[in-house]
Amino acid sequence: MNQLLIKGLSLFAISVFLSANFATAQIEITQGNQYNINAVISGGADASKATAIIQNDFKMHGAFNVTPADSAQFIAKGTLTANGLTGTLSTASGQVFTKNFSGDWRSATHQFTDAIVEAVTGLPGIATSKVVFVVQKTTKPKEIKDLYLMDIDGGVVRSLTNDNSLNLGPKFNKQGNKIVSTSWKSGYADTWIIDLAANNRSRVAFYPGINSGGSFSPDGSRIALTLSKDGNPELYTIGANGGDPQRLTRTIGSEATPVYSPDGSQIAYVSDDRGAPQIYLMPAGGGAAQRFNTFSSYTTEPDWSSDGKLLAYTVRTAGTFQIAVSDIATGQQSVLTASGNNETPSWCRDSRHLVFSRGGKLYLIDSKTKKSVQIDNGLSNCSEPNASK
Amino acid sequence: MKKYLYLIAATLTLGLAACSNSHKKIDGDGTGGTAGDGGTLPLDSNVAMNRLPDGVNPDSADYSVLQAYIVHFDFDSFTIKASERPKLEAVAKWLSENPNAKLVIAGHTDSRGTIQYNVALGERRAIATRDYLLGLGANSAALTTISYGKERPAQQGENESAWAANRRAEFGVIR
Repeated sequence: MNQLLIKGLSLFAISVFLSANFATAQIEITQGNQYNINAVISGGADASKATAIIQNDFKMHGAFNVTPADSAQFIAKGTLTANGLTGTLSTASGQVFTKNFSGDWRSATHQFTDAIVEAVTGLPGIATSKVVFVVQKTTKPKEIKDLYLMDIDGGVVRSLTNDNSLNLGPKFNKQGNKIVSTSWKSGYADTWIIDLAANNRSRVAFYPGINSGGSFSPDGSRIALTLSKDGNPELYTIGANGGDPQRLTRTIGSEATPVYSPDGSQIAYVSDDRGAPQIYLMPAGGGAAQRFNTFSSYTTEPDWSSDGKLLAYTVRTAGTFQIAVSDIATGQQSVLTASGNNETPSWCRDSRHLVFSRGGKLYLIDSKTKKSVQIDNGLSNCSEPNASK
Repeated sequence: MKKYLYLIAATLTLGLAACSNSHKKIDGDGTGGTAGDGGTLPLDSNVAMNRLPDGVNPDSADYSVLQAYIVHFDFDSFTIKASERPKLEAVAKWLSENPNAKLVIAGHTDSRGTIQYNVALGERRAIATRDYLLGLGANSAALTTISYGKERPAQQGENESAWAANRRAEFGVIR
């Protein structure tokens, strides 16, 4: 799919070059480029709302400036239909594509955005991404946190749990149809899986002690998590239905927040075995762990990008918590945020954007430009966002 | 440093025969170990973890009875400090006088640090507290641990006093 796409884009690049109206740089697949786009949806009662949605999609993405048609490099025209939307992307030199997108008007509009982003930047679009997150409903005398789901632009907010208890750390599987999280619904910290398609929830790990911080393997067959059943919080993997625990670590400290590499071969996690928490990498089946240098004495919450090349994490610096990204091969680090306390970075599927929380609000940030936008979902006290891949 | 303090505490309180030898093996080499090697578990508490009997929810525990004995911790540490030992001795005595009672030991952290790491750290504090009580002769079947991470602060606020109050292990009584 990717190869085909790149081939298609190269042909497109050549054709535009030949047309001489555009420099080839304007559609080279270069991250960090800015594109001027005019986007309008017509047809029916929802057209103006759909136009606002697609324009907001481009603004949130950050690589696009929404402009009037006469200064736009790209013209996006959509028409709402009974089954969804028909969308056309063109440049001054001609049409790039015409495609049909099915679903309700909002979903079809996000699909149109993603098709444009992919055609122009070569990276997957993120407008169709979902975000699962935590909302603190009450504080003392009883703290209640529940899980919610939304579109990445803050639309279509939906409650997933209503437990009169704590729910923490929701994470999507790669397919985006299941969510693993920690819930205190039973009174204890157990690992639960929500099946979005079947609209049900099951408790998969409830060993004595904590069963927390789980994440799915890329093929969905296993969950890596922290169990303390053997007398210390350590990393284990279990089958996705809860059985067959395999122990991965054996330290005097605590291990937390394991995440798989996208090829499933490695796990990144946090351990405080040497004092303050640090990120380590180890083979997913167990074995020697290596500390990952983040130039910080306190580093937590690793998340592995979909292309396998980058780790995002949270560092404590000067008493505050900031989001940073490192290139795994070179070790080169980029600190993305500068103020406040920022938590829980989660990669979007394009390995470029991340969602995170700060002060009860959720944000989308572009790791290339470090520009962030608040995701307006109308809710307060939000935390632990996780984006579908 | 934390490691050595813990070793001293573990040796003093538990007196586990295999403890100090097996610790030497991993000293200084960081995280490691192999899954499923079937060997001993030198770093674990060596005493089985418990849950309360079916149908008894730890949320029903009464934390007021032993609130005078809440154990406090230093930042990012699960070491039982010398100042806290008299409290644990008092709890052990209470347990011996109330042989039918069960205790939920709830570990908590301050608001600094990230959510999931704090869940693990809170559990580490609960287990360290439990193990100290076991060293004083408490019956393991009477003790259940739980962690709330930083989710249930004793005191609201972002200051030293609130942070210190929130780094704790509390005892909830189930009768």
